Amino acid sequence: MNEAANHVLSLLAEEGPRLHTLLVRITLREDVAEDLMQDLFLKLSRRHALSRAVDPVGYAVRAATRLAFDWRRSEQRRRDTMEIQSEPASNHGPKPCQLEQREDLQAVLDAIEQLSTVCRNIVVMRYLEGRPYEEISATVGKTTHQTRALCYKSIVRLRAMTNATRSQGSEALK
Amino acid sequence: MRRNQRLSRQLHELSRLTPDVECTRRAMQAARAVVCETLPDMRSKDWSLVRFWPRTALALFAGVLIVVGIVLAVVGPSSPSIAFAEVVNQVAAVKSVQYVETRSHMPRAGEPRGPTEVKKVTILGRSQMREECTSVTPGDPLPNGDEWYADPSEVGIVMISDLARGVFVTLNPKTKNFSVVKQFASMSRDDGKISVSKAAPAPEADFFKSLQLFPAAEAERLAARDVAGHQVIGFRSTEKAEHKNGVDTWTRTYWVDNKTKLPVQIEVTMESTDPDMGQIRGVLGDMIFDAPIDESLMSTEPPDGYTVRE
Repeated sequence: MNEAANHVLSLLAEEGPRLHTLLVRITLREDVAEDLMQDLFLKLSRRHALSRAVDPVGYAVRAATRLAFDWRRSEQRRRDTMEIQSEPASNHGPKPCQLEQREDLQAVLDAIEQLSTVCRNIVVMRYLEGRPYEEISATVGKTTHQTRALCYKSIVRLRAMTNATRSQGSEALK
Repeated sequence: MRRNQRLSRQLHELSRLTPDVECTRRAMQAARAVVCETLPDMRSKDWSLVRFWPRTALALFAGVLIVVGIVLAVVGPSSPSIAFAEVVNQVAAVKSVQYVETRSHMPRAGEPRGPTEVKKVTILGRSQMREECTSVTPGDPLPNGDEWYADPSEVGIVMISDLARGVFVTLNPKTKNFSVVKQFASMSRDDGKISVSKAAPAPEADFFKSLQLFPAAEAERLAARDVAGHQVIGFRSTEKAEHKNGVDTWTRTYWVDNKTKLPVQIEVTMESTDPDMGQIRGVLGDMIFDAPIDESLMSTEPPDGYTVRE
């Protein structure tokens, strides 16, 4: 087994549970998270990017975050298309789990998706993973001070976005 | 609830979401299988060299058949969920494997039908393999004195491979001949040139190695059904390989017992747009795992009464 492969497998052994948990928290779907884990490690294996990364764990976390939000976007497009076509719900598709139906959590994740890549990574690592600022700053390539500031701004934006969404929902009900 | 508290509570709730242990284990196994599939040094080097008629194709094709196998990650919504990695792990843990392989020709319109071969295969451990030809249904006569790759005279011939040592022997019970295979010949898929390679050690039988090569991520999941008395789920992949004279399409279907997570039947077909390539279908069935195997069946020493030839 070559060195690159060993590197990827070591990362999987040490950080696999963390990455899988992160994928579940963003997708709210265990089955999707399992698929995305495969996609993630396929990418990490094929591009040898992991070997070149200064911070392999941070790189993998960023890649997992990107994959999960990409999935959310494509899923949203799929749902939009289904609504336009007004097709009856398929009996063959995966049944949404309880978590997936939590609109409040979905709204927060949708809002996080709207953030810039750096801010999204910071929010995910800080609030979804509970990582310290020092670790986050190393991962995103900012100083700790900058990271704290970006995190604060991101939360302000998230509040604005989620409140706006909530207000629109209330209007629609009237 | 105040705005700030609401967002904080939701973020906190997200941070508390934790998949169950079994789900994480399954995801990691599947990811590990994917990593192994992409390792360049674990990939088969030259299965494109398999030509229809060379006899060695028989052994190579067996490997390809198995490759197919297993993979997969998740099953259809109405089926039990099995990750391919679980199948790989289950197979990796077995001490022996036995199956019957049936290989038949799929003639194009106007082509003569080729022979159908059946052989019994036994694998002990990872690297000891015994293949015994049990029947050959003759093909239609060929013009110009050409011969098919197999005929009924091969029934009874045994090939024993000790892959770890790189030792390959054949036994012919009819003629009492014992042969040591020193080299293998294969034909280039593109230019028909025959190349010869020396018999060399390999870590394990293709049956196991092949599991790592199945493109699980792209496989189609097939609905649960009954195959040979087992409730199985299926995984099917279709791969195209472009060559100088045409495109080969390999379709592999793996039927896996949803309780034991072991394959019950493996089906492989190869169709080609190259008219010089024979189209074939192989089925590995009657699979038995972990049955006791008499180690003497794997001996690469000449039996009493046999004449040794090289």
